[in-house]
Amino acid sequence: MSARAVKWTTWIALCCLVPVPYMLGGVEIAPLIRLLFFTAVIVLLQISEGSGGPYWWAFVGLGCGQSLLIATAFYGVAALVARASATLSPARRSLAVLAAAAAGIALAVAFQAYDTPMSSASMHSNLLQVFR
Amino acid sequence: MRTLAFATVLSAAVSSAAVSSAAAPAFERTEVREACSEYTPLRRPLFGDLHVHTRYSLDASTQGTRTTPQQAYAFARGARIGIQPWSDANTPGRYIQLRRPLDFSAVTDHSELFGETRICNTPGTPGHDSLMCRIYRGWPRLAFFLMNSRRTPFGFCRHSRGTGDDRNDGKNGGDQAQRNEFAGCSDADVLTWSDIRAAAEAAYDRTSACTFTTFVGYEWTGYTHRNVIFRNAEVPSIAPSSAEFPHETKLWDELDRQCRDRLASCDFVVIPHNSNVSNGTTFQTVRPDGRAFTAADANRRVHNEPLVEIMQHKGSSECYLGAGTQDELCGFENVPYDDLSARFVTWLRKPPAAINFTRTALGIGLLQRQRIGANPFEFGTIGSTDTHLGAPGLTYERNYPGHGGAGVAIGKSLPDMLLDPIEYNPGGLAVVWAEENSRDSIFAALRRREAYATSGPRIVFRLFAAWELPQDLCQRNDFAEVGYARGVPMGGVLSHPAHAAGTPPTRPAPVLAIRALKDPGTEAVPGRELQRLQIVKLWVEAGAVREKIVDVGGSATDTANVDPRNCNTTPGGSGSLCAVWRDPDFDPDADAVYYGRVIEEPTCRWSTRACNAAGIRCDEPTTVRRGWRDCCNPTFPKLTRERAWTSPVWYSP
Repeated sequence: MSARAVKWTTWIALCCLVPVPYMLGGVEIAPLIRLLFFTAVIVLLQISEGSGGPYWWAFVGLGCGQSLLIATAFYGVAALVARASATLSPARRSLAVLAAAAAGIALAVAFQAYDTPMSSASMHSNLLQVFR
Repeated sequence: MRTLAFATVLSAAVSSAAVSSAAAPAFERTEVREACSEYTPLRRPLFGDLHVHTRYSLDASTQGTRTTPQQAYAFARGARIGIQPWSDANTPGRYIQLRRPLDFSAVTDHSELFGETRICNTPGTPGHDSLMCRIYRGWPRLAFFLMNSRRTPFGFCRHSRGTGDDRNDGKNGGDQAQRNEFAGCSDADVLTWSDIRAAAEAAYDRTSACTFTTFVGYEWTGYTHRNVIFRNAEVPSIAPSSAEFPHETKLWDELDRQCRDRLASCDFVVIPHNSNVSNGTTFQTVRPDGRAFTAADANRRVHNEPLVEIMQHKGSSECYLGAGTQDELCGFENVPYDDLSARFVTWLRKPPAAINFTRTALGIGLLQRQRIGANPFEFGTIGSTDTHLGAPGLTYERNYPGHGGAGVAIGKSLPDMLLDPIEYNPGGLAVVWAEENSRDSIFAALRRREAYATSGPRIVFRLFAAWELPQDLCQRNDFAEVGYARGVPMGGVLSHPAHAAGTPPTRPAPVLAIRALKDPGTEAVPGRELQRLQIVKLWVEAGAVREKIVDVGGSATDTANVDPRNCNTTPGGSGSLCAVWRDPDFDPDADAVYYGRVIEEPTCRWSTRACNAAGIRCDEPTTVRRGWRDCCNPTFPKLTRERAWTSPVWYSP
């Protein structure tokens, strides 16, 4: 695995697994990908049902702004991880990154680590429930 | 119909006269119904809840509430109902039931988004499969915020909203084709309002037993929040909402137009609530155009809004320790932020300002009377729950299930956490002194402000003000007779004492007779004793409002106690407190207002009971699980002191 691949793999794992706080009317602590999904839905709503005035744009702005901020921060972390792993051989690097990602997925599935009050199902969710 | 109504009125008047010639019915009868077999000329306390949300409110429905208005009224009458979390087989995860039924109630769902909420819950209706409704069903709390932000007329209902019965006459935007396409929204609005009216009618006991009274009502949720309570079954065909009428004066205009001007016996009162988190907007003294109130504005406000809800689920609105007062007993069920939106946007939180509280408003009212000749804040006080479970009167600290609303959304399982934000509470009750349990009698009590608030217990609380009262009134059994004969009850205005022609007017100080009886409770859960009886006085001195809190009964020190670790109580306090108090500092040239407050001995707060039941021990950090951390937040008290507040009496020079 190249350093570039390490960076992007790490970045995707961070976006999909790490609980981050965001505010979209209510506050949730969930993976960035959930915020991205909500933002996309809101934009789609905007397209399908028309403009909704300043509050509506505020929601779109909140979703896009927070997504950008968090994604950029994760990109920075991913770049640092890639740089730190440059000393490892490609095989070891691949093993380390994939093992860390797999462990992260296992933990995220095993525990309800996310606060998801906007869901119809549960206040707290694991990785699978986040996307339910 | 008119003849029948008149006959009913006449027969009721005759039967009332037979009960007592001392007091003719103090209210006008406007409806057709059997006369109540129990009529109390000197009035009796009736306990109720005038702030109840059911599944028809967007916020309640997005928190899993399925209670219908019919079920809410059944609950108020003592029935057991199931509440969320709901299983896939539609089995409720919890059941709730009142220990004692209420005497009256009103379902007051948010009229904003009546249509949208109904459409998203009703398969087959136009709009049910819209993206917005899909979001509503999949991520209800996201939908709550999105739909609230879209309640100005747009989105899938935007073309079918208008005003009153001319909503589809082409004045409200969009062409005819668009209006037809989205006509389902208007229909859904009207259907929901019809359901609410029908539920109130079905639950109203029109027999002579007069066991239970309902009122048709709804909540207008604008920049401030207000409940509209109608006098009888004659109500407008739609419930004017803040989407169409965004200022309270516009609401009054529309209610006047649709109700008082068009329907013979239609009348209403508008009751503001949660001034405590209104960011200073509830008690304004300017018109929407920014000009200062005139006497006419003030009088109009008093006529339309004779009451304020001082206590409910989202806190007490009486006063806030440190915000214009050093009254230590103001530290009671305070929500520690100024604006309800700060509940969700925590970094916007700032401490509440004095103007959010009824005590400050009562004082401003006195100043306004001096400046413009009329007091816009001559209001009485009631409590209610603001339940979003459709559970009127559920004010118990024990096993409190959370009232929802701006609180905790519960999905398909009960979360391992406090079931309401810790700053919230189970809410209060509205109590009226009425001759009988009927709409006209209770409505008249609301209108004349002979009503009071409790923080939940069924304390019986009475106050009269007069220029002269027997000092031994508390020991006599004619407390109310003398009070009515010589003075005014709570909510009244003390007129100048009579004096013989040709003699100079006497200028005595007013005397207040005040009496409180503890809530007897039930055999299983007895009521708590009373600790302290107080009179709160506000007056104007040198152009500024002063306040004084006088202990007139009981003790300022605890005689009973409670152990917060297990909530066991030790006995103490009094079963009743009574006093006849003459104001020693009365200035006959100064405007003044007085109200009573009675405090119970301490008990465990709901949060303490919940934390104990969850096994949280703050000295053992491993027991303090996520969702229960507020149990150990020292900002919030472990104990509470339930209480009641009378409506005020006023004096003007």
